[in-house]
Amino acid sequence: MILTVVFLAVGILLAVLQTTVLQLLPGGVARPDLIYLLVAFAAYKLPWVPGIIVSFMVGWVLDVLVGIDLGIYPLEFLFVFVCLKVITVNSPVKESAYQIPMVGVSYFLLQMAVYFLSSFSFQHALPEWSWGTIIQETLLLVMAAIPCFLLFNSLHEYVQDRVGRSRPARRRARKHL
Amino acid sequence: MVWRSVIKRVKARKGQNGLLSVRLLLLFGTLMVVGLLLLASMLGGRFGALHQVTLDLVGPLQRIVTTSLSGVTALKDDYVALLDVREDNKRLNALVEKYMQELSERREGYQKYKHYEELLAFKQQEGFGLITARVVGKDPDFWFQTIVVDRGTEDDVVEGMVVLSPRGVVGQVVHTSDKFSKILLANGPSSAIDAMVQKNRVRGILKGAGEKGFVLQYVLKNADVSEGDYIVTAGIGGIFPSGIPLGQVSAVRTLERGMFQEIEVEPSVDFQKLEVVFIDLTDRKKVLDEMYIEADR
Repeated sequence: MILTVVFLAVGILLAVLQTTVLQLLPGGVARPDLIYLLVAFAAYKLPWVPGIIVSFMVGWVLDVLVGIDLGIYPLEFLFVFVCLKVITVNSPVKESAYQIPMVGVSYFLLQMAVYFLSSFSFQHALPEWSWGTIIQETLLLVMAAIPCFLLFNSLHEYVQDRVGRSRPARRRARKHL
Repeated sequence: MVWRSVIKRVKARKGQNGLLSVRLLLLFGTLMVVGLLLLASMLGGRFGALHQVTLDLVGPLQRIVTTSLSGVTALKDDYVALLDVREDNKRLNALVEKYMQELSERREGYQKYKHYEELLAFKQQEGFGLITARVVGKDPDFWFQTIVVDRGTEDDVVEGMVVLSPRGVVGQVVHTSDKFSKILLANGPSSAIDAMVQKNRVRGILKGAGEKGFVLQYVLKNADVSEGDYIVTAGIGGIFPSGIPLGQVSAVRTLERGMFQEIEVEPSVDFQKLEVVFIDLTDRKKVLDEMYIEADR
């Protein structure tokens, strides 16, 4: 529960930063998709239920802030979460060495899928597909994933530690009662 | 002793199974709620009460961050400007001479314009006017372009209203909450505006092309369009009034096949640097009337 709330707050904060601070940076460059990194981290580290809640709620917030066709972002993030979770659960891919390359590959594939699906509804209105932009975005995301995952991991361990400490204390208190 | 340990193990397993089933129930419950919310949101496609509450909660956070950052940005911009000030001074002096020449020519035109403006103001009815709105958030995605501004239904903003800047068309209001609104920028891929070439009134559809600006479509090959021509709104469809600047032609290509020219347009508005925009409330009555007609149906 605490883990969900903490990562949800982080998600909202990242959505705000993503739509304000990062937009001041030069166009395209140095604007990694931090929310995507949070969803990927949730898939690697959080259990199913907290992960789904965090992914959905962050998608919901982003949908409200910037979405045009409502429902796309929650769907996209849930899809990413479930895919990464299914791939990594009980698999050696879960190891940290594979995590960041997986983020890059999944982001790349997702952008292709989003563009492909968008081409049905915005057939003539979509800008031209650009391999350069996608590769640049993916590389940027992979580079940003290293410090972000370190931060998320530290936060995850800290929260787990706090929860772990409080549990025996609560049990002892119940026994005394 | 053995029986006791066996009973303990069985109880522990029962406890674990119970916990597992509760977790599974919780998982399916959450999935169901999520699915229903998603379905309702996607099928309805409406910016409902939950969306509005979320925007009203997150919007202030965006405003705080944007406001606190604007001071830092201004400081940085001032410093950077100082570095280039000598170069700018030379360039600006040359420009001043050129513009002084132009000014004397335009002064006469301005006097005529003032006279016509007075006549026009006499004829026109009083409208709802423009309201200013501060940009508090921008879309991080590079396929679609939207911004969030700090004006909502409390300020009489409704979906469909036109958003302008002193340089031209910014976009259109797509979603509103009490205090905030979401604007679809004119250069967004899903944006299409009836436009015309100012010099010869040749019409076409101006489509958003993201960071590339605009593309003017459906202009016949025999139409006289060249680089540097100004593109303005055509006023067809009743959403945008005619004559508002949209941009300037940056490239014209005539392909061997097809009936139309391929025209790229550089937007007159710098969408990356939007800080304050104007929401045009003059069409409010019209939009509301349309909404009432739809509601009556």
